[in-house]
Amino acid sequence: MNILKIFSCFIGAINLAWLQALSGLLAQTQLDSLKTTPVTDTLVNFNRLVGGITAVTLPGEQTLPKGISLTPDGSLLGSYESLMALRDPLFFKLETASGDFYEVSLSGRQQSGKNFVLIQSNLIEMATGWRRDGKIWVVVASALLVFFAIIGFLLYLERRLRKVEKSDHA
Amino acid sequence: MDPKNSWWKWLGFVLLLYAIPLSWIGKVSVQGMLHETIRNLYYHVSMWFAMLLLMLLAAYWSVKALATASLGHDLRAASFSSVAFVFGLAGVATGSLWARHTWGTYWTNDPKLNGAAGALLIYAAYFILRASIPEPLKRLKAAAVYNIFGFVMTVLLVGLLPRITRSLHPGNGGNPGFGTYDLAGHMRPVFYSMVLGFTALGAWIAQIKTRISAVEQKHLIT
Repeated sequence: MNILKIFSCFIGAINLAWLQALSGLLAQTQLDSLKTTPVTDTLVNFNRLVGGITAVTLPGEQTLPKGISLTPDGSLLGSYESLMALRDPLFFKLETASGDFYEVSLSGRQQSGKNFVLIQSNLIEMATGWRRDGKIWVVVASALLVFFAIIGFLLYLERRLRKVEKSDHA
Repeated sequence: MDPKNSWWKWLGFVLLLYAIPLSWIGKVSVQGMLHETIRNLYYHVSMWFAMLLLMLLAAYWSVKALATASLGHDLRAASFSSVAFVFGLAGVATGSLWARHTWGTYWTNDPKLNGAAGALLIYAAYFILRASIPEPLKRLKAAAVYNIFGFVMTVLLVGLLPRITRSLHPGNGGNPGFGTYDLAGHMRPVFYSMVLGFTALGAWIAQIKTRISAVEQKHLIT
C-alpha cells in the first residue's frame, strides 16, 4: 500500500508530494536499528519508484555531502547518519528512458526519535512526445514559411525602391 | 541588391535559417518552472540583444551625423532607432507572455521590466523630438545629441540597474545568469545566431526605411 502511494505521488508529480509514507516505512523497518551502526547502503532507490532512470544531474555547483552518493541509475547511497545531518535538502534531476524529467528534493528529519526521509518530486513536463511523433516539423515548416515570406517581401521592397531611386537620379 | 554591400543580409538570412528550426527542435536544458518555454530565450532575449545592437548602430550614426552634419547619417540614426523601438516592443510583449506562464503575471514591478519600459519611453520621446523640429540641420543636432543620451540611458536602465537591485531576471539581483548553468552548451550557438540574425534583419529593414526617407525628403525639398 505504501509503495503504491509513493508511486502514485511520484507519477502524479504534483508540487509538494511529501512522501511521508516512504519515510514511515523506512523508519519502521530499518532506520532505528541503523542508528547505532552507520552502514553505507541504498537509502532510496529511485529506479524502483519511477523505473528506467537514465541520468541523474545535480544543478549548478551543488555537490553531494560527505557520506552520500548518487548512482547514474538513480540510487542514493550512503549512511542515514549523514542524511539526517543535512541542513539543506538535496536537489537533483532524474531523467527516465521515456524522456521524462523529475525534479527531486530530498532531506532527512528526526522527529520524536524516528528518522524520516522526505522526498518532494515534481515532473518537469517537456514536449518529448510531441517531438517524437514528428508533428513538430509542421510548426518548423510554418515558421520557415513566415520567415521566407518576410525575406521575400524585403527583397521585393528593395527592388521597387531601387527603381524609384534610379528614376529619381535621371 | 548589390551583392558587394549586402553580404551581411545574407549572413543574417543564413544564421536565422539555421537558428529558427533549432529553436523548435534543438536540445534545450530542462528547468523546473520554465519547462519548454526555455525556448523563449531564442526569441524574447534575442529581441532585446538585437534592439541594443541596433540602438548602438543608431548612436554610431548619430555621432557621425554630428561630426559631419550629414542628413543621410541623420536619417540612418532615425531608421535604426525606429526598428530598435519595434524590436523593443516585441521584447516587452514576448516577455509579458513569458512572465504570465512562469512568474504568474503579465507585469511585475521588476526593475528590468520598468527599466525596459523607461528605455522605450526615452526612444518614443526621440521620435517626438524629431517630428517637432522642421528645420533639418537643427533637427539633426538635437536628435543626434538626444539619441546618444538615449542609448546610454538604455544601457543603464536595461543592462546595469537591474543587476544591482532585486530582480526576477536571471543574472540580476544575485540570480544566476543564463550563462552559468541554465544556458546549456548546445543552446548557445542557436541563441547567438538568433541575436546576430535578428540584428541583420533589423538593419536591413532600417536600410530600406532610410532609403525611402531619403527619396521622400528629396521630393519635399525640390
